[in-house]
Amino acid sequence: MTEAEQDQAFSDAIARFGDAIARMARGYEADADLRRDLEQDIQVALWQSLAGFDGRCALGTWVWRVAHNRATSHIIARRRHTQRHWSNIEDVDLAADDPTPFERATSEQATALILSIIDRLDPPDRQILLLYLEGVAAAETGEITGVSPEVVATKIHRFKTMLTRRFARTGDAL
Amino acid sequence: MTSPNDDSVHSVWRQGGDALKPLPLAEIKSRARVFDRAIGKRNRREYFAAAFVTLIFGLYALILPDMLLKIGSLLVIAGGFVMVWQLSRRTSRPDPGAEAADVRAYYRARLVTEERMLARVGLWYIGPLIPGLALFMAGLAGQFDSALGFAAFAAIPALVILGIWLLNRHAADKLRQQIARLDNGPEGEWK
Repeated sequence: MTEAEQDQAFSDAIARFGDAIARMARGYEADADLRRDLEQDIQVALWQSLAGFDGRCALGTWVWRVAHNRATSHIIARRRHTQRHWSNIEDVDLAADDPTPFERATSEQATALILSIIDRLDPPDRQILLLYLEGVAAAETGEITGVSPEVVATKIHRFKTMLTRRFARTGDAL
Repeated sequence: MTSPNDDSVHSVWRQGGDALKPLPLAEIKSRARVFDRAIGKRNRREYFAAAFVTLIFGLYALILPDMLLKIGSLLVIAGGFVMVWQLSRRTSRPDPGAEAADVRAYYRARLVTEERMLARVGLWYIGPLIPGLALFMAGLAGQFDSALGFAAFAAIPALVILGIWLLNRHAADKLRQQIARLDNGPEGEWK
């Protein structure tokens, strides 16, 4: 790939996935300044990596792998200083607050709960849920993460169950 | 209870957050050339600590009269430089090629790198400082009236070093557990 082609592929990737990368970064870094640094690091990593992009996988798969892997490096490095503990989603337990009907929950409340769940997760589960939130299909998520589609479906089911317990009463629409 | 609707969840997720601020291509290329920026930031705390050690023991080497103290101070500084060099060498660097691998393989490789770094912390992080500290303490020994008093004094840095070693060994154990969990997950969990 020539540098001009690399530049073009990068521009295409940012145009298609830029905002999704910014949303993904929220799942890895809560601090706004550090998140901005992470977003910039991801852009640099993406441009560098595209020199080796040969089209054997979809551009989206490539972009997600690079973005999640760079973000994983970021949180591993941060953990050395913050001593955070992560779990599988099966081991995450929400506080037993009363469920709130979704129509009464603000978007900020819902997003905060989603982020609070994601923040506790091991990178592999975190990646699966962030890809689900972006609407990436289970098969592609499996290709990106190296996990079988069945495992993807199981993790997403667990996540949706947690949201249901918290936000939805019988018949609520979330 | 009904299961959450995928579209609603996706919609909630997409409503929040700021848009990406794209870096100009020239800036990206400039940063790509300065490849170690992230590593430099990550290790900044250790670099500051090494600079502090250099300053303090540099002053000792200048003002303390005893030759053992002077040589010990210089060896501690040299050990600090070795430690910082090892830190920058051992902290895994972002690899644009490897980052296109599937995230599970990449995550495992990162965990293994971190585990090796922490498990051998006695060798590369603590070890280089030991000769200088030992010589420095030997130089101080003559200034104590009793062996017990010196032993009590020497026990303080020894316990700090032991604590650092144990904490890192513990962290390495936890990383080994995470790696084992990835490797030995429920049958069929991973491809």
